[in-house]
Amino acid sequence: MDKMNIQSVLQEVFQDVFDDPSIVITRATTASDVEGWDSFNHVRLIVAVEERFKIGLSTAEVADLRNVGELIDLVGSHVRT
Amino acid sequence: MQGEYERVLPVAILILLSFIYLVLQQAWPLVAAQDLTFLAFALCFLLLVMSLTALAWLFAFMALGYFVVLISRRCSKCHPLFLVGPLVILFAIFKRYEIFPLQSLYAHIPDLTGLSFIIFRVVMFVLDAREGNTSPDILTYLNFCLSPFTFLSGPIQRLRAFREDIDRRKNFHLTATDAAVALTRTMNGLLKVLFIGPFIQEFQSFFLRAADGSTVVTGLHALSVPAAYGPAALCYLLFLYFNFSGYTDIVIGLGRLFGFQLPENFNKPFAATNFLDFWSRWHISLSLWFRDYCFTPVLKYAVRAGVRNPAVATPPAYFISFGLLGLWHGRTWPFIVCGFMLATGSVLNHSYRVVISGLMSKEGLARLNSNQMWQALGSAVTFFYIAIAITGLWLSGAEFIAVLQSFTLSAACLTTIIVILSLAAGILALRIGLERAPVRKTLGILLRLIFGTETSFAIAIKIFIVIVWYFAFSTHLPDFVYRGF
Repeated sequence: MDKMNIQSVLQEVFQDVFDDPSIVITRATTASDVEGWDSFNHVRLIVAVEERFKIGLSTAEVADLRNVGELIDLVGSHVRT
Repeated sequence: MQGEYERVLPVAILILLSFIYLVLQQAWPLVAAQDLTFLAFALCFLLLVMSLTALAWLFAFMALGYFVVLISRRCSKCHPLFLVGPLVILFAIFKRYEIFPLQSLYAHIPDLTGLSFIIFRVVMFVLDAREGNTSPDILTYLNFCLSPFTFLSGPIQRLRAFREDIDRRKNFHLTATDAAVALTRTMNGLLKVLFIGPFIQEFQSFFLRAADGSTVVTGLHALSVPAAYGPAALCYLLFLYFNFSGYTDIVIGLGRLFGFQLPENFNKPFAATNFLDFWSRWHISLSLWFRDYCFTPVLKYAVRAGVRNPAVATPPAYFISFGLLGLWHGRTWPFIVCGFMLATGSVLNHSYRVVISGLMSKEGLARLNSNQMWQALGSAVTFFYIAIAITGLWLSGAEFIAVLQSFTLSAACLTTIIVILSLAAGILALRIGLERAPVRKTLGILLRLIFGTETSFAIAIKIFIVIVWYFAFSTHLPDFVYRGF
Protein backbone atom coordinates (compact mmCIF):
# COMPACT_ATOMS: atom_id res chain seq x y z
CA MET A 1 0.00 0.00 0.00
CA ASP A 2 1.60 3.30 -1.03
CA LYS A 3 1.55 6.57 0.89
CA MET A 4 -1.35 8.11 -1.07
CA ASN A 5 -3.53 5.06 -0.44
CA ILE A 6 -2.66 5.10 3.26
CA GLN A 7 -3.56 8.79 3.41
CA SER A 8 -6.98 8.24 1.81
CA VAL A 9 -7.76 5.27 4.08
CA LEU A 10 -6.58 7.31 7.08
CA GLN A 11 -8.92 10.09 6.02
CA GLU A 12 -11.86 7.70 6.27
CA VAL A 13 -10.67 6.62 9.73
CA PHE A 14 -10.43 10.28 10.80
CA GLN A 15 -13.91 11.05 9.46
CA ASP A 16 -15.27 8.05 11.30
CA VAL A 17 -13.50 8.70 14.64
CA PHE A 18 -14.29 12.41 14.73
CA ASP A 19 -17.74 11.81 13.26
CA ASP A 20 -17.21 14.53 10.67
CA PRO A 21 -17.34 13.56 6.96
CA SER A 22 -15.91 16.95 5.95
CA ILE A 23 -12.46 16.35 7.52
CA VAL A 24 -9.63 16.58 5.00
CA ILE A 25 -6.19 15.60 6.29
CA THR A 26 -2.81 16.60 4.92
CA ARG A 27 0.68 15.54 6.01
CA ALA A 28 0.96 18.77 8.01
CA THR A 29 -2.29 18.29 9.97
CA THR A 30 -1.80 18.30 13.77
CA ALA A 31 -4.11 17.78 16.74
CA SER A 32 -4.82 21.50 17.02
CA ASP A 33 -6.22 21.57 13.44
CA VAL A 34 -8.99 19.05 14.09
CA GLU A 35 -11.94 19.90 16.32
CA GLY A 36 -12.29 17.38 19.14
CA TRP A 37 -8.81 15.85 18.81
CA ASP A 38 -8.24 15.51 22.56
CA SER A 39 -6.40 12.80 24.45
CA PHE A 40 -9.39 10.46 24.45
CA ASN A 41 -10.10 10.80 20.73
CA HIS A 42 -6.38 10.47 20.04
CA VAL A 43 -6.45 7.04 21.65
CA ARG A 44 -9.66 6.17 19.76
CA LEU A 45 -7.89 7.23 16.58
CA ILE A 46 -4.83 5.07 17.26
CA VAL A 47 -6.99 2.05 18.14
CA ALA A 48 -9.06 2.61 14.98
CA VAL A 49 -5.90 2.89 12.86
CA GLU A 50 -4.56 -0.34 14.38
CA GLU A 51 -7.81 -2.17 13.62
CA ARG A 52 -8.22 -0.75 10.11
CA PHE A 53 -4.67 -1.59 8.97
CA LYS A 54 -4.42 -4.71 11.18
CA ILE A 55 -1.17 -3.53 12.76
CA GLY A 56 0.08 -2.92 16.32
CA LEU A 57 1.65 0.41 17.17
CA SER A 58 4.03 0.57 20.14
CA THR A 59 3.91 3.08 22.99
CA ALA A 60 7.17 4.71 21.92
CA GLU A 61 6.12 4.93 18.27
CA VAL A 62 2.83 6.63 19.06
CA ALA A 63 4.49 8.99 21.55
CA ASP A 64 6.91 10.26 18.91
CA LEU A 65 4.21 11.31 16.41
CA ARG A 66 4.09 15.03 15.68
CA ASN A 67 1.67 15.26 12.73
CA VAL A 68 -0.41 13.20 10.33
CA GLY A 69 2.57 12.89 7.96
CA GLU A 70 4.51 10.96 10.59
CA LEU A 71 1.47 8.78 11.26
CA ILE A 72 1.29 7.97 7.52
CA ASP A 73 5.00 7.06 7.51
CA LEU A 74 4.60 4.95 10.66
CA VAL A 75 1.62 3.05 9.24
CA GLY A 76 3.54 2.66 5.96
CA SER A 77 6.52 1.09 7.74
CA HIS A 78 4.23 -1.44 9.47
CA VAL A 79 2.11 -2.30 6.42
CA ARG A 80 5.13 -2.99 4.24
CA THR A 81 6.88 -5.32 6.70
CA MET B 1 22.02 23.50 55.37
CA GLN B 2 24.40 20.57 55.79
CA GLY B 3 21.97 18.44 53.84
CA GLU B 4 22.09 20.91 50.99
CA TYR B 5 25.82 20.42 50.61
CA GLU B 6 25.44 16.67 50.59
CA ARG B 7 22.95 17.13 47.77
CA VAL B 8 25.31 19.43 45.87
CA LEU B 9 28.32 17.13 46.32
CA PRO B 10 27.35 14.45 43.74
CA VAL B 11 26.77 17.22 41.19
CA ALA B 12 30.21 18.68 41.98
CA ILE B 13 31.75 15.23 41.50
CA LEU B 14 29.86 14.87 38.22
CA ILE B 15 31.23 18.19 36.97
CA LEU B 16 34.82 17.30 37.92
CA LEU B 17 34.61 13.81 36.37
CA SER B 18 33.05 15.29 33.25
CA PHE B 19 36.07 17.53 32.79
CA ILE B 20 38.41 14.54 33.03
CA TYR B 21 36.22 12.76 30.48
CA LEU B 22 36.26 15.91 28.32
CA VAL B 23 40.05 15.90 28.27
CA LEU B 24 39.91 12.25 27.22
CA GLN B 25 37.39 13.07 24.51
CA GLN B 26 39.52 15.88 23.09
CA ALA B 27 42.74 13.85 23.23
CA TRP B 28 41.47 10.43 22.11
CA PRO B 29 38.00 10.94 20.61
CA LEU B 30 37.78 7.38 19.31
CA VAL B 31 38.47 5.87 22.73
CA ALA B 32 36.09 8.25 24.51
CA ALA B 33 33.23 7.48 22.11
CA GLN B 34 33.39 3.74 22.91
CA ASP B 35 30.39 2.43 24.85
CA LEU B 36 32.75 0.63 27.24
CA THR B 37 34.63 3.87 28.01
CA PHE B 38 31.34 5.55 28.75
CA LEU B 39 30.39 2.70 31.07
CA ALA B 40 33.74 3.06 32.86
CA PHE B 41 33.04 6.77 33.28
CA ALA B 42 29.60 5.92 34.69
CA LEU B 43 31.04 3.33 37.11
CA CYS B 44 33.69 5.80 38.37
CA PHE B 45 30.91 8.25 39.06
CA LEU B 46 28.81 5.66 40.92
CA LEU B 47 31.77 4.56 43.06
CA LEU B 48 32.35 8.17 44.09
CA VAL B 49 28.75 9.05 44.96
CA MET B 50 27.44 5.80 46.46
CA SER B 51 28.52 3.36 49.15
CA LEU B 52 29.46 -0.16 48.02
CA THR B 53 26.43 -1.60 49.81
CA ALA B 54 24.09 0.80 48.03
CA LEU B 55 25.79 -0.01 44.74
CA ALA B 56 25.30 -3.73 45.34
CA TRP B 57 21.56 -3.21 45.96
CA LEU B 58 21.32 -1.02 42.88
CA PHE B 59 22.99 -3.66 40.71
CA ALA B 60 20.73 -6.33 42.19
CA PHE B 61 17.74 -4.30 41.01
CA MET B 62 19.30 -3.76 37.60
CA ALA B 63 20.05 -7.50 37.27
CA LEU B 64 16.43 -8.38 38.10
CA GLY B 65 15.36 -5.69 35.62
CA TYR B 66 17.52 -7.23 32.91
CA PHE B 67 16.03 -10.63 33.72
CA VAL B 68 12.59 -9.15 32.96
CA VAL B 69 14.05 -7.66 29.74
CA LEU B 70 15.15 -11.15 28.67
CA ILE B 71 11.72 -12.61 29.50
CA SER B 72 9.89 -9.85 27.65
CA ARG B 73 11.98 -10.45 24.55
CA ARG B 74 10.64 -13.99 24.31
CA CYS B 75 7.17 -12.96 25.35
CA SER B 76 5.76 -10.46 22.86
CA LYS B 77 2.28 -11.84 23.59
CA CYS B 78 2.60 -11.21 27.34
CA HIS B 79 0.42 -8.45 28.74
CA PRO B 80 2.69 -5.46 29.55
CA LEU B 81 1.32 -5.37 33.12
CA PHE B 82 2.56 -8.92 33.66
CA LEU B 83 6.09 -7.65 32.94
CA VAL B 84 5.97 -4.13 34.40
CA GLY B 85 3.84 -4.96 37.49
CA PRO B 86 6.45 -7.12 39.26
CA LEU B 87 9.13 -4.53 38.44
CA VAL B 88 7.11 -1.74 40.04
CA ILE B 89 6.48 -3.84 43.19
CA LEU B 90 10.20 -4.66 43.33
CA PHE B 91 10.99 -0.99 42.95
CA ALA B 92 8.64 -0.10 45.82
CA ILE B 93 10.37 -2.67 48.05
CA PHE B 94 13.90 -1.53 47.12
CA LYS B 95 12.77 2.04 47.74
CA ARG B 96 11.37 0.95 51.18
CA TYR B 97 7.82 2.13 50.51
CA GLU B 98 5.90 2.18 53.79
CA ILE B 99 2.90 0.68 52.00
CA PHE B 100 4.48 -2.76 52.53
CA PRO B 101 4.96 -3.99 56.13
CA LEU B 102 8.55 -5.13 55.59
CA GLN B 103 10.39 -3.24 58.34
CA SER B 104 12.80 -6.10 59.06
CA LEU B 105 13.90 -6.26 55.44
CA TYR B 106 13.93 -2.49 55.07
CA ALA B 107 16.41 -2.23 57.94
CA HIS B 108 19.04 -3.71 55.60
CA ILE B 109 18.37 -1.54 52.54
CA PRO B 110 20.25 1.77 52.33
CA ASP B 111 19.07 4.88 50.45
CA LEU B 112 19.45 4.07 46.78
CA THR B 113 20.42 7.19 44.86
CA GLY B 114 19.17 7.16 41.29
CA LEU B 115 16.74 4.24 41.66
CA SER B 116 13.69 6.51 41.34
CA PHE B 117 14.79 7.37 37.82
CA ILE B 118 16.26 3.99 36.87
CA ILE B 119 12.79 2.41 37.17
CA PHE B 120 11.51 4.54 34.25
CA ARG B 121 14.42 3.49 32.05
CA VAL B 122 14.10 -0.20 32.95
CA VAL B 123 10.36 -0.10 32.12
CA MET B 124 11.09 1.56 28.76
CA PHE B 125 13.77 -1.03 28.03
CA VAL B 126 11.45 -3.91 28.95
CA LEU B 127 8.61 -2.63 26.75
CA ASP B 128 11.02 -1.92 23.90
CA ALA B 129 12.36 -5.47 24.11
CA ARG B 130 8.79 -6.83 24.20
CA GLU B 131 7.94 -4.98 21.02
CA GLY B 132 11.09 -6.50 19.51
CA ASN B 133 12.36 -3.23 18.08
CA THR B 134 16.09 -3.72 18.52
CA SER B 135 18.30 -6.23 20.25
CA PRO B 136 18.38 -5.48 23.97
CA ASP B 137 22.15 -5.68 24.46
CA ILE B 138 23.41 -5.40 28.01
CA LEU B 139 25.91 -2.61 27.31
CA THR B 140 23.18 -0.29 26.04
CA TYR B 141 21.05 -1.32 29.02
CA LEU B 142 23.78 -0.44 31.52
CA ASN B 143 24.73 2.83 29.82
CA PHE B 144 21.09 3.84 29.45
CA CYS B 145 20.31 3.15 33.12
CA LEU B 146 23.55 4.47 34.60
CA SER B 147 24.43 7.43 32.36
CA PRO B 148 25.88 9.95 34.87
CA PHE B 149 24.19 12.85 33.09
CA THR B 150 20.73 11.54 33.96
CA PHE B 151 21.52 9.29 36.92
CA LEU B 152 20.87 11.58 39.88
CA SER B 153 17.51 13.17 38.99
CA GLY B 154 16.83 12.74 35.28
CA PRO B 155 15.78 14.23 32.90
CA ILE B 156 14.06 11.05 31.70
CA GLN B 157 15.38 10.49 28.20
CA ARG B 158 13.57 8.15 25.81
CA LEU B 159 15.37 5.00 24.74
CA ARG B 160 15.20 5.91 21.06
CA ALA B 161 16.68 9.36 21.73
CA PHE B 162 19.42 7.77 23.85
CA ARG B 163 20.28 5.36 21.03
CA GLU B 164 20.44 8.27 18.58
CA ASP B 165 22.79 10.09 20.96
CA ILE B 166 25.03 7.05 21.30
CA ASP B 167 25.21 6.78 17.48
CA ARG B 168 25.89 10.48 17.08
CA ARG B 169 28.72 10.28 19.60
CA LYS B 170 30.69 8.01 17.24
CA ASN B 171 31.37 11.01 14.98
CA PHE B 172 30.99 13.77 17.52
CA HIS B 173 33.20 16.81 17.31
CA LEU B 174 32.85 19.55 19.91
CA THR B 175 33.12 23.04 18.41
CA ALA B 176 34.19 26.05 20.48
CA THR B 177 30.77 27.68 20.06
CA ASP B 178 28.91 24.56 21.22
CA ALA B 179 31.25 24.25 24.19
CA ALA B 180 30.60 27.87 25.21
CA VAL B 181 26.82 27.39 24.94
CA ALA B 182 26.98 24.12 26.91
CA LEU B 183 29.24 25.50 29.66
CA THR B 184 27.10 28.63 29.99
CA ARG B 185 24.07 26.40 30.54
CA THR B 186 25.93 24.46 33.23
CA MET B 187 27.19 27.58 34.97
CA ASN B 188 23.70 29.12 34.91
CA GLY B 189 22.39 25.97 36.55
CA LEU B 190 25.04 26.25 39.25
CA LEU B 191 24.09 29.89 39.87
CA LYS B 192 20.44 28.85 40.26
CA VAL B 193 21.25 26.00 42.68
CA LEU B 194 23.92 27.77 44.75
CA PHE B 195 22.66 31.35 44.85
CA ILE B 196 18.98 31.77 43.98
CA GLY B 197 17.78 28.53 45.63
CA PRO B 198 19.25 29.14 49.11
CA PHE B 199 18.08 32.75 48.94
CA ILE B 200 14.46 31.61 48.51
CA GLN B 201 14.93 28.94 51.16
CA GLU B 202 15.70 31.68 53.63
CA PHE B 203 12.27 33.18 52.93
CA GLN B 204 10.75 29.79 53.67
CA SER B 205 12.53 29.51 57.01
CA PHE B 206 11.50 33.08 57.73
CA PHE B 207 7.83 32.08 57.41
CA LEU B 208 8.40 28.91 59.43
CA ARG B 209 10.06 30.88 62.22
CA ALA B 210 7.23 33.39 62.06
CA ALA B 211 4.80 30.58 62.92
CA ASP B 212 6.26 30.60 66.37
CA GLY B 213 9.38 31.80 68.09
CA SER B 214 11.16 28.50 67.44
CA THR B 215 9.99 25.80 65.04
CA VAL B 216 6.80 24.88 63.32
CA VAL B 217 6.23 21.82 65.47
CA THR B 218 6.16 23.08 69.01
CA GLY B 219 3.98 25.68 70.72
CA LEU B 220 1.38 26.36 68.09
CA HIS B 221 -1.24 29.05 67.90
CA ALA B 222 -4.57 28.82 66.17
CA LEU B 223 -3.78 31.11 63.27
CA SER B 224 -0.02 31.51 63.18
CA VAL B 225 0.71 28.02 61.80
CA PRO B 226 -1.87 27.99 58.99
CA ALA B 227 -0.88 31.55 58.12
CA ALA B 228 2.80 30.63 57.93
CA TYR B 229 2.36 27.17 56.41
CA GLY B 230 0.81 28.40 53.12
CA PRO B 231 3.49 31.00 52.30
CA ALA B 232 6.23 28.57 53.44
CA ALA B 233 4.85 25.89 51.08
CA LEU B 234 4.76 28.42 48.21
CA CYS B 235 8.37 29.42 48.94
CA TYR B 236 9.33 25.76 48.80
CA LEU B 237 7.71 25.38 45.36
CA LEU B 238 9.69 28.37 44.10
CA PHE B 239 12.87 27.02 45.73
CA LEU B 240 12.26 23.63 44.14
CA TYR B 241 11.95 25.27 40.72
CA PHE B 242 15.36 26.93 41.00
CA ASN B 243 16.96 23.90 42.61
CA PHE B 244 15.60 21.37 40.13
CA SER B 245 15.70 23.47 36.95
CA GLY B 246 19.24 24.48 38.00
CA TYR B 247 20.22 20.82 38.33
CA THR B 248 18.65 20.13 34.92
CA ASP B 249 20.57 23.03 33.35
CA ILE B 250 23.80 21.61 34.77
CA VAL B 251 23.33 18.12 33.35
CA ILE B 252 21.86 19.26 30.00
CA GLY B 253 24.90 21.53 29.58
CA LEU B 254 27.37 18.80 30.57
CA GLY B 255 25.64 16.28 28.30
CA ARG B 256 26.00 18.64 25.32
CA LEU B 257 29.78 18.61 25.76
CA PHE B 258 29.63 14.92 24.84
CA GLY B 259 26.95 14.98 22.16
CA PHE B 260 23.97 14.09 24.38
CA GLN B 261 20.75 15.96 23.61
CA LEU B 262 18.86 15.53 26.88
CA PRO B 263 15.18 16.50 26.97
CA GLU B 264 14.07 19.77 28.58
CA ASN B 265 12.27 19.58 31.93
CA PHE B 266 10.81 23.06 32.41
CA ASN B 267 8.93 25.54 30.24
CA LYS B 268 8.03 28.58 32.38
CA PRO B 269 5.90 26.66 34.92
CA PHE B 270 4.87 29.84 36.71
CA ALA B 271 3.15 31.07 33.56
CA ALA B 272 0.68 28.18 33.98
CA THR B 273 -2.94 29.13 34.61
CA ASN B 274 -4.30 25.74 35.64
CA PHE B 275 -3.25 22.40 37.11
CA LEU B 276 -2.91 20.42 33.86
CA ASP B 277 -1.14 23.38 32.22
CA PHE B 278 1.32 23.43 35.14
CA TRP B 279 2.19 19.77 34.66
CA SER B 280 2.80 20.32 30.95
CA ARG B 281 5.45 22.88 31.96
CA TRP B 282 6.93 21.36 35.16
CA HIS B 283 9.18 18.27 35.20
CA ILE B 284 8.10 17.73 31.59
CA SER B 285 10.10 14.56 30.98
CA LEU B 286 8.30 12.96 33.96
CA SER B 287 4.78 14.04 33.01
CA LEU B 288 5.32 13.01 29.38
CA TRP B 289 6.54 9.63 30.59
CA PHE B 290 3.38 9.17 32.65
CA ARG B 291 1.28 10.37 29.70
CA ASP B 292 2.78 7.80 27.33
CA TYR B 293 3.31 4.85 29.66
CA CYS B 294 0.32 5.20 32.00
CA PHE B 295 -2.39 7.64 30.86
CA THR B 296 -2.55 6.56 27.21
CA PRO B 297 -2.42 2.79 27.95
CA VAL B 298 -5.28 3.14 30.47
CA LEU B 299 -7.35 5.05 27.90
CA LYS B 300 -6.44 2.52 25.22
CA TYR B 301 -7.57 -0.29 27.47
CA ALA B 302 -10.90 1.49 28.01
CA VAL B 303 -11.39 2.17 24.29
CA ARG B 304 -10.59 -1.45 23.40
CA ALA B 305 -13.07 -2.55 26.07
CA GLY B 306 -15.70 -0.61 24.16
CA VAL B 307 -16.00 2.57 26.20
CA ARG B 308 -17.25 5.27 23.84
CA ASN B 309 -17.89 8.01 26.36
CA PRO B 310 -14.84 10.11 27.32
CA ALA B 311 -16.54 11.12 30.59
CA VAL B 312 -16.28 7.45 31.68
CA ALA B 313 -12.73 6.74 30.50
CA THR B 314 -10.74 9.95 30.95
CA PRO B 315 -11.20 10.75 34.69
CA PRO B 316 -9.97 7.30 35.84
CA ALA B 317 -6.98 7.60 33.48
CA TYR B 318 -6.11 10.98 34.98
CA PHE B 319 -6.66 9.71 38.51
CA ILE B 320 -4.41 6.67 38.09
CA SER B 321 -1.64 8.58 36.26
CA PHE B 322 -1.43 11.55 38.61
CA GLY B 323 -1.94 9.32 41.65
CA LEU B 324 1.10 7.24 40.70
CA LEU B 325 3.05 10.37 39.73
CA GLY B 326 2.43 11.82 43.19
CA LEU B 327 3.17 8.54 44.96
CA TRP B 328 6.46 8.28 43.06
CA HIS B 329 7.74 11.44 44.77
CA GLY B 330 8.39 9.68 48.09
CA ARG B 331 8.00 6.50 50.08
CA THR B 332 6.27 7.79 53.23
CA TRP B 333 2.59 8.42 53.89
CA PRO B 334 2.65 12.18 53.11
CA PHE B 335 3.23 11.06 49.53
CA ILE B 336 0.02 9.05 49.59
CA VAL B 337 -1.59 12.41 50.37
CA CYS B 338 0.47 13.90 47.52
CA GLY B 339 -0.68 11.20 45.09
CA PHE B 340 -4.29 11.62 46.15
CA MET B 341 -4.16 15.41 45.88
CA LEU B 342 -2.52 15.38 42.43
CA ALA B 343 -4.96 12.72 41.23
CA THR B 344 -7.95 14.72 42.52
CA GLY B 345 -6.53 17.94 41.10
CA SER B 346 -6.16 16.49 37.62
CA VAL B 347 -9.69 15.06 37.64
CA LEU B 348 -11.17 18.33 38.95
CA ASN B 349 -9.28 20.36 36.34
CA HIS B 350 -10.39 18.02 33.56
CA SER B 351 -14.01 18.02 34.74
CA TYR B 352 -13.96 21.81 34.97
CA ARG B 353 -12.80 22.00 31.34
CA VAL B 354 -15.53 19.63 30.17
CA VAL B 355 -18.31 21.30 32.17
CA ILE B 356 -17.39 24.87 31.35
CA SER B 357 -16.95 24.22 27.62
CA GLY B 358 -20.41 22.63 27.67
CA LEU B 359 -21.94 25.58 29.51
CA MET B 360 -20.39 28.46 27.59
CA SER B 361 -20.21 29.47 23.96
CA LYS B 362 -16.84 29.21 22.23
CA GLU B 363 -16.39 32.98 22.22
CA GLY B 364 -17.46 33.30 25.85
CA LEU B 365 -14.96 30.62 26.88
CA ALA B 366 -12.14 32.28 24.92
CA ARG B 367 -13.03 35.60 26.60
CA LEU B 368 -13.02 34.04 30.06
CA ASN B 369 -9.72 32.23 29.46
CA SER B 370 -8.00 35.40 28.27
CA ASN B 371 -9.25 37.45 31.22
CA GLN B 372 -6.13 38.38 33.19
CA MET B 373 -7.84 38.37 36.56
CA TRP B 374 -9.30 34.93 35.93
CA GLN B 375 -5.88 33.69 34.78
CA ALA B 376 -4.16 35.09 37.89
CA LEU B 377 -6.74 33.42 40.12
CA GLY B 378 -6.26 30.13 38.26
CA SER B 379 -2.48 30.40 38.65
CA ALA B 380 -2.77 31.20 42.37
CA VAL B 381 -5.10 28.25 43.07
CA THR B 382 -2.82 25.95 41.04
CA PHE B 383 0.45 26.98 42.71
CA PHE B 384 -1.07 26.87 46.20
CA TYR B 385 -2.66 23.46 45.63
CA ILE B 386 0.53 21.91 44.25
CA ALA B 387 2.68 23.54 46.93
CA ILE B 388 0.46 21.96 49.62
CA ALA B 389 0.45 18.60 47.81
CA ILE B 390 4.26 18.30 47.85
CA THR B 391 4.57 19.15 51.57
CA GLY B 392 6.13 15.71 52.11
CA LEU B 393 9.28 16.94 50.37
CA TRP B 394 10.09 19.37 53.19
CA LEU B 395 8.12 18.15 56.25
CA SER B 396 8.45 14.69 57.79
CA GLY B 397 5.35 12.64 58.54
CA ALA B 398 5.44 13.60 62.25
CA GLU B 399 5.86 17.30 61.47
CA PHE B 400 3.07 17.09 58.91
CA ILE B 401 0.74 15.62 61.55
CA ALA B 402 1.75 18.33 64.03
CA VAL B 403 0.94 21.01 61.46
CA LEU B 404 -2.40 19.42 60.58
CA GLN B 405 -3.36 19.03 64.25
CA SER B 406 -2.69 22.69 64.88
CA PHE B 407 -5.27 23.63 62.24
CA THR B 408 -8.83 24.42 63.00
CA LEU B 409 -11.06 24.17 59.95
CA SER B 410 -12.08 27.82 60.07
CA ALA B 411 -8.48 29.03 60.46
CA ALA B 412 -7.38 26.83 57.56
CA CYS B 413 -10.18 28.09 55.30
CA LEU B 414 -9.60 31.70 56.25
CA THR B 415 -5.84 31.58 55.66
CA THR B 416 -6.27 29.62 52.42
CA ILE B 417 -8.58 32.30 51.03
CA ILE B 418 -6.27 35.09 52.16
CA VAL B 419 -3.13 33.40 50.77
CA ILE B 420 -4.77 32.58 47.42
CA LEU B 421 -6.27 36.05 46.98
CA SER B 422 -3.05 37.86 47.88
CA LEU B 423 -1.06 35.49 45.66
CA ALA B 424 -3.48 36.14 42.79
CA ALA B 425 -3.15 39.90 43.32
CA GLY B 426 0.64 39.58 43.35
CA ILE B 427 0.67 37.47 40.18
CA LEU B 428 -1.69 39.91 38.44
CA ALA B 429 0.47 42.89 39.40
CA LEU B 430 3.62 41.06 38.29
CA ARG B 431 2.14 40.04 34.93
CA ILE B 432 0.75 43.53 34.23
CA GLY B 433 4.13 44.97 35.21
CA LEU B 434 5.96 42.56 32.91
CA GLU B 435 3.76 43.65 30.00
CA ARG B 436 5.13 47.18 30.19
CA ALA B 437 7.79 47.75 27.56
CA PRO B 438 10.42 49.46 29.76
CA VAL B 439 10.15 46.76 32.45
CA ARG B 440 10.32 44.00 29.85
CA LYS B 441 13.32 45.61 28.18
CA THR B 442 15.27 46.19 31.40
CA LEU B 443 14.53 42.69 32.66
CA GLY B 444 15.47 41.22 29.28
CA ILE B 445 18.83 43.01 29.29
CA LEU B 446 19.47 41.95 32.89
CA LEU B 447 18.62 38.29 32.24
CA ARG B 448 20.70 38.24 29.04
CA LEU B 449 23.60 39.76 30.93
CA ILE B 450 23.44 37.18 33.74
CA PHE B 451 22.37 34.03 31.91
CA GLY B 452 22.71 34.66 28.18
CA THR B 453 26.28 35.83 27.62
CA GLU B 454 27.94 32.84 25.98
CA THR B 455 31.59 33.84 25.88
CA SER B 456 34.52 32.17 27.58
CA PHE B 457 35.08 35.43 29.47
CA ALA B 458 31.56 35.34 30.95
CA ILE B 459 31.96 31.66 31.81
CA ALA B 460 35.29 32.40 33.53
CA ILE B 461 33.67 35.15 35.61
CA LYS B 462 30.90 32.78 36.69
CA ILE B 463 33.40 30.08 37.65
CA PHE B 464 35.35 32.69 39.60
CA ILE B 465 32.22 33.84 41.45
CA VAL B 466 31.26 30.27 42.38
CA ILE B 467 34.77 29.45 43.65
CA VAL B 468 35.10 32.67 45.65
CA TRP B 469 31.63 32.19 47.09
CA TYR B 470 32.42 28.63 48.07
CA PHE B 471 35.68 29.44 49.86
CA ALA B 472 34.46 32.65 51.46
CA PHE B 473 31.02 31.77 52.69
CA SER B 474 30.15 28.10 52.38
CA THR B 475 30.91 27.05 55.96
CA HIS B 476 29.25 30.12 57.46
CA LEU B 477 26.45 30.49 54.98
CA PRO B 478 23.44 29.96 57.27
CA ASP B 479 24.92 32.39 59.79
CA PHE B 480 25.66 34.92 57.09
CA VAL B 481 22.22 34.92 55.55
CA TYR B 482 20.37 34.80 58.85
CA ARG B 483 22.02 38.03 59.85
CA GLY B 484 20.48 39.62 56.78
CA PHE B 485 16.99 39.26 58.25
